[in-house]
Formats: sequence, C-alpha cells, structure tokens
Amino acid sequence: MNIRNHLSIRYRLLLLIILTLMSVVLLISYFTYQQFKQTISSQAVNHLKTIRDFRIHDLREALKKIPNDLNFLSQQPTIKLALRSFDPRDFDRGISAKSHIKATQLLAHYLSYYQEKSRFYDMFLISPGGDIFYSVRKESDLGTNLITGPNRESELANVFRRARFMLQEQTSEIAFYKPSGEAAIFLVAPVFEQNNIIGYLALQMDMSFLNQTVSLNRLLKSGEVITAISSGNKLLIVAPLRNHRLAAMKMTLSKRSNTGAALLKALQGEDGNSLLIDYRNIAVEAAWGYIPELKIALMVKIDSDELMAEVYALQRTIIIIVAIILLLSLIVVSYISRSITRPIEQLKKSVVSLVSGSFAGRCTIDATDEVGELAKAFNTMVDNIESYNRQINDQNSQLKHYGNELEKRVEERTATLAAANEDIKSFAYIVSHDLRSPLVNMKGFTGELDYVLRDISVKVKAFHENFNETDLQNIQQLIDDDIPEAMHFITTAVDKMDHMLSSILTLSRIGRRELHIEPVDLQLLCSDILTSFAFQLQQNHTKTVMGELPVILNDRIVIEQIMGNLIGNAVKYLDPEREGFIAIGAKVSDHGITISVEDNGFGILPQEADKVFLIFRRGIHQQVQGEGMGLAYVQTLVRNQGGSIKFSPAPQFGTIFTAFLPLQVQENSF
Amino acid sequence: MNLHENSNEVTIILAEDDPGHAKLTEKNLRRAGINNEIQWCENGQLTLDYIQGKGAFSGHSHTKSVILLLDLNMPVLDGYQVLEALKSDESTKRIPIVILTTTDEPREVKRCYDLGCNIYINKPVDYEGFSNAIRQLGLFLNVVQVPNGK
Repeated sequence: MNIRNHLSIRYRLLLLIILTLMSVVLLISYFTYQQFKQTISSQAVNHLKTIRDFRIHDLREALKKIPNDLNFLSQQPTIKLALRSFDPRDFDRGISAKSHIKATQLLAHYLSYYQEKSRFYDMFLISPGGDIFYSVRKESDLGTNLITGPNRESELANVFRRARFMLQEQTSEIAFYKPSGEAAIFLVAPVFEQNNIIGYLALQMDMSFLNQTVSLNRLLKSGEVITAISSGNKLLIVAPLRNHRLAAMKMTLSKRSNTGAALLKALQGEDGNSLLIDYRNIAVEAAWGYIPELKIALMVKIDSDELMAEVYALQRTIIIIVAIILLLSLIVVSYISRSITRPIEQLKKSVVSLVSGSFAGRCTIDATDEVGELAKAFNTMVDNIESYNRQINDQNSQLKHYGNELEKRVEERTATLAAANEDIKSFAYIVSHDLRSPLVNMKGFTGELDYVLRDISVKVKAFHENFNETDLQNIQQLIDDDIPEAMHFITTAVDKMDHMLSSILTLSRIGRRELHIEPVDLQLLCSDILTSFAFQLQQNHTKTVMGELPVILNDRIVIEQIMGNLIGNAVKYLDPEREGFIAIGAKVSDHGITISVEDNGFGILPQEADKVFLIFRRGIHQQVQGEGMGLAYVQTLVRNQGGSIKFSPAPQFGTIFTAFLPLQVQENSF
Repeated sequence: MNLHENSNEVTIILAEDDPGHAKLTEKNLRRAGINNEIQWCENGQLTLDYIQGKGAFSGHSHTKSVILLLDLNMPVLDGYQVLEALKSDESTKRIPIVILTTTDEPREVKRCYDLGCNIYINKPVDYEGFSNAIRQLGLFLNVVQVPNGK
C-alpha cells in the first residue's frame, strides 16, 4: 500500500519539508558537535600534556640543585672540621656525644641557612666506618652504624655503601624511611682532605617538593596527579592523591590495570596520553611521563565528564536549538503549506459540489499563481457547463412541448384515420354484399331463362309429334309468365346495380371535390329549400321555425347539399298522424358554426343508430322513398371540410341533427 | 320425424329482402323436390313477427315445425338481430336456422355460429353454383329432424 497517496497534499508537503529540514539541521549540528568535541578533547589533551611537562620539568629542576648544594657543603672547612672531630668512642651516645655537640656548635648557623635554601629535610655527618654521629633532626638513626646498625637495610645505607665504593656522590631511589616515617631520597657524598676520606656528608631531601608536584594548581575540579614507582610486581603510589590523602607509599596498583599499564609504559620511558579507566573505575583523560632521576612515573588525569562538560552542555544546547528550529519550521511550513493547499482545497470543494450536481459553487480564490489561474479556468468552465445545461434544459422542455403537440396531433390523426378505416371497412362490406345481391339475381334469372328456353325447345319439338292442349298451355305460361318474370328481375337488378354504382361514384366524387369558398346567406338558402317542399309541408300542417341564420364563408353547393338532405329527411320522415314541426338554428363560435335541424317525425330507434350514416342503409320506414344515400353524402361532405355530424333524439318525438362546420377562409377577397 | 315424411307439416321461412333472391331460392328448392310450404318474409322484423305471432301475424305464432332460411343484410332488423332474438328466447331457440347470405367474410361466419346459427351457407354469384347450393340445401332439409313441439 502506498501511504503517499492516502495523505493529503498538505501533509505530504509538510512531511517532505520537515524531513528535509530535519536532516539538514541534524547533519549540521552533528558535524558541529563532532568538530567541537574533537577540538575540546584535543585542547584538553594538550592541556594535560602541558601540565605533565611542567610538573616533570619543575621536579627535575628542583632535583638538579641538590647535588650542587651537596658538593658545595662537602668542600666547606667547617664540615671537614666537624668530620675530623669525630670520636668513635662515644658516638653511640647520640646527642650527648662529644662529637655531636662539637658539630652542632660548628654547623648551627650554616645549616639553618641551607635547610631553608636547599629545602632538605635533614643532614647527616657519617664517619668513614658508617657511624652517624650528627643529624640536624636528631631522629632515631643518630648514633647508629649504617653497616651494622638497625638501619643497615635502608636506602640511606644502600646509597652510603655505593658512595664508599664509588668514591663519589650518589643519589638514592625514593623509598620509605622508617626513622622519618615517610618516603625519602638521600644523597651521600664522600668528604676528602688531602686525598683521604675523612667522612661522608648525607642529605635527606625535603619531600614537600613532591607535594608541589601533585598540587591542584590548574587541575580543574577533578584533576589529579599520580606518582608511582615500581615495587615488585606492583606499582606503589609515592605522593598523596587528591582523592586519597593517605595513599603515599601505601597504595598499590596492579600493573595489569588500565592505569597501571599506562604508568608501566611511563616507567619504561615512554610519554603518552589516552582515555583511561582509573583506579576509581571512572573514565579519565590522562597524560603520563617519566622522571629518570627518581625512577618515578607521573600521570596527570582529569575526569572525562568534566573535560567534556562543555561538550555535553553544547550537546544539550544543540538539541534545544534543533528542537526550537524544528518547532518553528513546523509552524512556518504548516502555514506555508496551508497557504499553498488552501486554494487547492477550495478548488476541490467546488469541483466536488459541481460533481454532486450543484452549479452554485464558484471558486473564490484571490491569487495570481497557477492555482489562481486554475480556479479562474474552473469558474469559466462551470459557467459554460451551466449555460450549456440551461440551453439543453430549454431545448428539452421545448422538445417536450413539441412532442406533446405532436402526440396530440397524432392522436387526432389517428382518430380520423380510425374513422376513415371504419368507413372503408363498411364500404368494402357494402360493396361485397350489396353489389353482389343484384348480380345473384341477374345470373339467377338468366339461368332461369335458360331453363325456360330449354323447356320451350322440348315443348316445341314435341309440338310437331304429339301436340296437346296441356303442352300448349304450358308453353303459353312459359312465354307469358316465366320469361317476362325473369326478364323483369334481370332488368330490375341491372337498374339497381346501376343506381348503386352511380351513388358510390357520386359519394367518391364529393369526397374529393375542391371547395369554392364564397359568402353564403344561410337564411336565404334555407328558406329556398323549405319553399321547394311547400306541398309536403302543407299536407302535414307543418310549422317551421328559423333562428337567426348568419352569412357564412363556405362552398355554396356543399351547403345546399347538406341543408337539402337534412331538411328533406326531416320533411320525409314526419309522422302523418300529428302536425309537423321543423326548426332550423345556428350557433357561431370562434372555431366555426354549428347548424341544427330538428323535427318531430318518427325518430331513430336505438337499434338503428349505428347504421344511420352508412351508404344504402335505410331505417325501419321502408314506405318512405329513398336510396339510403342522403346522410352518407352529408357525412362525407361535412367530414371533407374537417367538420362533424351527429344526432340525438328530440325532446318529445323526432330527431335533432347537428352539423359542425369549421371556419373557412376566403381565398380571394375582392 | 323428418321433412320428407312430414313434408306438409314443416314450414320453410325464407327471410330475404331481395324478391329476386327469394324467387330463385324458392324455384331451386322446388326443383330439389321440396314441396313444403314456403313463407317469404322480406325483412327481419316481419320474420320475427311471423314466428312470434306479432304485428301483421298477430295471434298465430309459428315456433314449432319450422325451418328458418335467414339472410343477414336486411332492412329494419338485420339477420344478426333476428338470430340473436330467436336464440335468446326459450320458446324459439330450438328452431333450426340456416344462414343464407352473399357474404363469405370469415368474421361474419364466426359471429353467426357464436350467436347460435345451425348452418351457414354462402350464396354464390354464378347461377350454377347458386342453384346447386340451394338444391343441396333442399336435399339436406329432406333428412333433417325438426322438433315438432310435441
């Protein structure tokens, strides 16, 4: 699944910028941090190295002075005088020995001066046999022999033996000296007089110089100087430690420990520096070196934490700065990305509302950038779509309107066609039935004539042979009755057929006739027709009523035919048993004129109703002359100009025929 | 009981508006040996009146021992109306009715049988056909059983 596609543009933008920014900031801060750290640590190391070098230098400078002092003293006549005053007989009496008292008298002001100047702890005068007969501090070693006495194993005894053997000054290694109760270094020089050794001068160095070496000057809070000598398979701490005041000459370190290994390297003469774990198990930055005169390893170390405190502080500062930068950039980027995506969001909303079918939404982005142009284009597009839509809707409703009108017209036409179809059907039926009827007669009676002639022929043959009265009578009957009868039927049938055909012809002619429109005075026309029936009307004592009949625009001949047939039928079917009544009326409307003819005659029975307008069909009153053509004509004429005709029973007796004729327009007005 | 044996008892009613057709039908029936009385009615109303004993034939109904030869196209009441009236009336519905008409429209034929006619015969235009049809009708009438009302 691709997450990118599920995040909105805004968050994608946000994420991208934040990631880029973050990686840049982190990279920069990381490299800065690394650079700083390296600088700081190299500075620290240099610092340590400098301290180490200074300490070692100071120590060695201090050590250099002492032999000079020793040499100088050993040349002094006073020292020689004091040595010559040695009396082996009572030296073991210590301070009360004569030689001690003598030396003290001789040396008092010297020694106080040198003790101060050369910083030695003690001075010894030793006989050539190793008897210590004078010391400044008068410790327990005074009055003892270095060869045989209790201190014969001490470093003083060792260095004395070396000096006696080598006949020159010697310096001892640093070691614990029991009579002083602390570490000590001794220098012993033979004193000559006229090439004879008259005794030995020994100095015990003031160990406070070591304390100066391990002083805390320039060592920050956690700085520490370790001084150590090799002691068997261990390392012995010489001077007190900052964190271990009582460590001097007591505390040992394993040579295999981290610090021990570094100190061992120093004892082998190698300078160096490194990150170490010290005796307290704490990480320290350390630099070490060697003091060959004393065979001492010296190490300056500072806790890493303190050294790197600045680095850690920087680290924290960087983290805070990065966090602040990220926060600020988050806010800024969020604002920027929103300003970029807000128009897109708006556009999106507009598009969505358009998709859901609403044209109300427009993009109201006031910008000139790409999104602004897009919004403008979108608005134009929506406007276009809306106007197209409106056009389509208008056209649709117009089409619908046309469709409805068309449907209405089709319905009208269909009704007309259905009526016409019905006409054709009944016409076909009538033609097939009624016109066959006379043919049956013609064929039938021609056949009858054939019979008659065959009979006559047979009878005429027999006439020659045996003629009798009955045959004559038969022949006479054939000639007088049968033949004329057949002839009569044939003639009648032919006449009837001829009549029917001419009627059909007339009907089809009037159906196709073109109208000649002219003003027709209906009043005048109807009264003329009534006048032509004057005799019949008078016979039936008929009352005629005529309404206000207008002058209409129509075909005069057509109107004469229609009114003539309607009025003629009204007159013909009057009931002779009551006084006649005929009323003619007209009603003009916007669309045309409705003409009515009412009578009080026989009327039309319900079972005859559907045959009234059919050709050759006649009603129940067969005694009335007629061919069954009149109403068929009228209907054809009325329909020919788009009108209609119907009938209904009159209130009491008789029938009302109502013909509707649509308004005609005159072709040429004068 | 059939026409032949009781030729004088069964009356043939001929409902036909065209006198020529009536004459031809009668002549051809006679030639086929039909000697029964033939009553000619020239329209549907007269036919019903004759059978039901109304109008001009008031008082003498002829619902028994009759056969009706009925034309369809007649004035006043046409053949369909007569057929319907007779077949829907309990007293006349058993009268055998033979439709004898110039129309051979299948629709008309079906309608007549639906209304309950017994036989439908078409009048051919040519004389040979016509007289043959009528003569065969005559032969047929000779063997037809007619309910006599007893």
